[in-house]
Amino acid sequence: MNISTKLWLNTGLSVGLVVVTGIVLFASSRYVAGVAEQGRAANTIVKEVFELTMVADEYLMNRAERAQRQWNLKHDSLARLLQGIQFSEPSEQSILLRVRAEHQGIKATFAEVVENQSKRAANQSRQVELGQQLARMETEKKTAARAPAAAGLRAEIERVGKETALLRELDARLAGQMLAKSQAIVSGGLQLSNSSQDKVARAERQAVVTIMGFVLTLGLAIAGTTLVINRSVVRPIAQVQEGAEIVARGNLDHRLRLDANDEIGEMSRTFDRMLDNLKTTTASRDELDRMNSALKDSTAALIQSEKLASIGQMVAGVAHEMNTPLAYVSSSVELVKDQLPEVEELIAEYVKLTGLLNSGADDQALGKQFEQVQARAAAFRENRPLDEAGALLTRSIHGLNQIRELVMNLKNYSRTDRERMMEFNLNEGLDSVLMLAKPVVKTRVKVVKDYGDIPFVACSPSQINQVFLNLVTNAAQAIEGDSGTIHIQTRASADRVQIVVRDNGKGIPPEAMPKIFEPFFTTKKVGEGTGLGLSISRKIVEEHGGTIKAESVVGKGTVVTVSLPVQAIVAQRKRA
Amino acid sequence: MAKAKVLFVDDEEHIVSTLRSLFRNVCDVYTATSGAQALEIVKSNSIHVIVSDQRMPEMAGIELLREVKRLSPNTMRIMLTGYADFAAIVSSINDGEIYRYIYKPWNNKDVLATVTAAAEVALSLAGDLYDAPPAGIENAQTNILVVDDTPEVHVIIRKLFEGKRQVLSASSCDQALDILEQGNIGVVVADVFVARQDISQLLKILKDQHPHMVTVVLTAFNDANMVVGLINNGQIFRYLTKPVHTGQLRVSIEAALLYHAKCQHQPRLLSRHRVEKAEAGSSPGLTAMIMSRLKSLRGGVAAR
Repeated sequence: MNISTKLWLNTGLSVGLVVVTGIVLFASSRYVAGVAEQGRAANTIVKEVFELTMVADEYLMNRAERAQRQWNLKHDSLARLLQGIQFSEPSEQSILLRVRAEHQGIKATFAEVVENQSKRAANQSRQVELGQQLARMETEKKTAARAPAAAGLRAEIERVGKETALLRELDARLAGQMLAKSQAIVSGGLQLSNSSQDKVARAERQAVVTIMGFVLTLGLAIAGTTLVINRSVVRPIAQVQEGAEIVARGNLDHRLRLDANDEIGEMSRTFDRMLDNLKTTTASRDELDRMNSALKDSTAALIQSEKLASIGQMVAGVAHEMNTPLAYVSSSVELVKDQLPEVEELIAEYVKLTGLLNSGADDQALGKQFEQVQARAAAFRENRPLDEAGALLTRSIHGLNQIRELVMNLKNYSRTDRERMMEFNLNEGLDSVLMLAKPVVKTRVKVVKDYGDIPFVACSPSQINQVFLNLVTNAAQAIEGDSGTIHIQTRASADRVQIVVRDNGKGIPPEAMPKIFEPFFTTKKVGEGTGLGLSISRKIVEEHGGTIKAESVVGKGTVVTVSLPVQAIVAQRKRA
Repeated sequence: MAKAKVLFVDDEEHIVSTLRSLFRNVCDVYTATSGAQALEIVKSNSIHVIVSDQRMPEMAGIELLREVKRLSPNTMRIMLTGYADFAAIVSSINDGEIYRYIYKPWNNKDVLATVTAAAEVALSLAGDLYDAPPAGIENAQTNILVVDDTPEVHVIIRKLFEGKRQVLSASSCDQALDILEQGNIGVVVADVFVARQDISQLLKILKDQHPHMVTVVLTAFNDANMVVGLINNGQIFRYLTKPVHTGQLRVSIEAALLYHAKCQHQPRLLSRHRVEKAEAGSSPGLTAMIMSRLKSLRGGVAAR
């Protein structure tokens, strides 16, 4: 079963229990309220009966008509009370019926009392009247004739007296009856009240028990579902976490292998699958790490090889530059040498002639030799070998000067090709670099030098020359068409020197600009550049406390500006 | 005998001046300091030999020679240069079909000899001999010999000429010699290293002894000096680099077959491909062995 299903079931169960508990609580409170209402009614009955009894007592004391009416009113209200009240239990109902009956009975009794009272009142007034008649007769004693009448009167008085006594007796009995009935009603009301109170207490106890029961059930249900969730959710999650920690510690062979059909089971299977993948990728990552460290090694080697490559490129160029004058110088000298025998022969003929003159030879021999010399001299003049030789030697001297200049520049470069710091004239450095880069800077590229009066810069000349060579080479390689110009400017400011190399070549596309100083980034064809030139240049410039920046417009050209502090040596020492 | 017209081209004025001095008594010297200037001279004069530098601004030597070959195919083409990258040397074979490749600085005697020899050849050949392609010169009897130790090369070439030419295979110098003794070979397609043996010597001697054989080199080996040797001593027709580019290989072999047929038809043309005698080099024994076996080949020009 899915965890979400379990959680939904759990929620449903809890909500159901809470709703049932609520209904039960509501019902029992309603019940208790009803029972309490009955108890209150029973108490009211008791109170009313007491009041009725008191009114009855009052009536019995002074027999006032007002008390009689009051009693009737009270009785009626009690009657309404007794009619309105209802009890559910049979014992209570029988009590109620008895109370009602007593209540009816007390009315009849009270009516008898009232009737009896009126009889008594009539008897009393008759007695009084008879007494007055008798008194009047006694005063009229003289009339004996009236004696039987008096006796009859006396008998009448006596009968009325007896009757009054009887009525008084009845009255007392009736009062007793009323009291007994009142007591019966009171006792019934009390019984009902007690019974209601009992019921309230019982209902309250029941409600408490029910609530306790539901709370217990809810608690048990929550505990149960928690247990279930714990078993099916929390424990597997703990297992997953534990497994993840084991894996995090580096044990990639650990697997969860949870046997569950829910989301966690799915998760653990995914986790295991992920570990399988991770293990394979880790293997390839290890391979990558090895490759990376190998790459780092080879990067260092490449930086070195870039240095060597730029030197190699330069050497090849220098070789070519030197080769050309060497070719014509050697050829020319050889040619001059080839002409020497002719000169030697002419001189030999002259020597022969002077020898003949000195020895006093005959005119014929002398004339012959003279002709010989003349012919040779004419031929010699015609061939003009000396002019030719002069031209050849002049050319040779020019070529040798060319070679000397190259060698001087090379010496300049090699002298500085030491990792030593010295006061260096950057203009001279640029000149020697331009000379050495001549083969790269094709003849169609015009170089415009705009050198300022700049102070010597304390730096490592070999390194700075390497930067210049790189910048000039890049500028030359950027020029593709027939009309290219490299403009090199040097300027001094307060304590810095600026070198600006500007070309009107193809430019660098904006998307390539941010990468040009990155190692191995090259826009040149494979084999034409290592992609290290500018990154090494930047490294060198920054090590000298300087900056290098490039601006470019595609199709217009590129400007690279190097700014070096005059006291670059200090900057580098600080860095070191 | 009329003097040959020789044109020297170099962007360095002093070089052409010196060459002028060197050749002034030998031939009619023309000089130019740029390719464009040289082409003007070639157009208005029937130049017998052109000697050009490779590294020149605007027009490199190889571009010039390619253009000269088109404009004036009879002109013998020589490269005289101090430095050339490998691609330029290969191009001087495949595009320039040059006669010699001479390094600067040169030796006066050698340059004189080479240029004079080239001038003689050019003078001896009638002006219209070379560029008139004879009709129906397809010679189906001519076979192709492939010398290579990688089977794929043989498969590719067999496939290319299936049903058109017989393609014979050799995977060693010995096998190659055996086949050369038996078959009617017109074109040799060879690597320079076969079965860990440098057979460039074989190619050189073969051209020397049997100039009618046209050589196409197909190799992964790229050494400038070796290729220059194959030009000067082997007069190889094409130089192709491995991996094999089938289209290029087919075009090259077909051109070689056509050229072979042309030479069969006009044997005098072969003088254009005279080679310098190769030095025995590091293996005189091998050289002697190859020499003796090649001399006995049937149908060799030397035997005629």
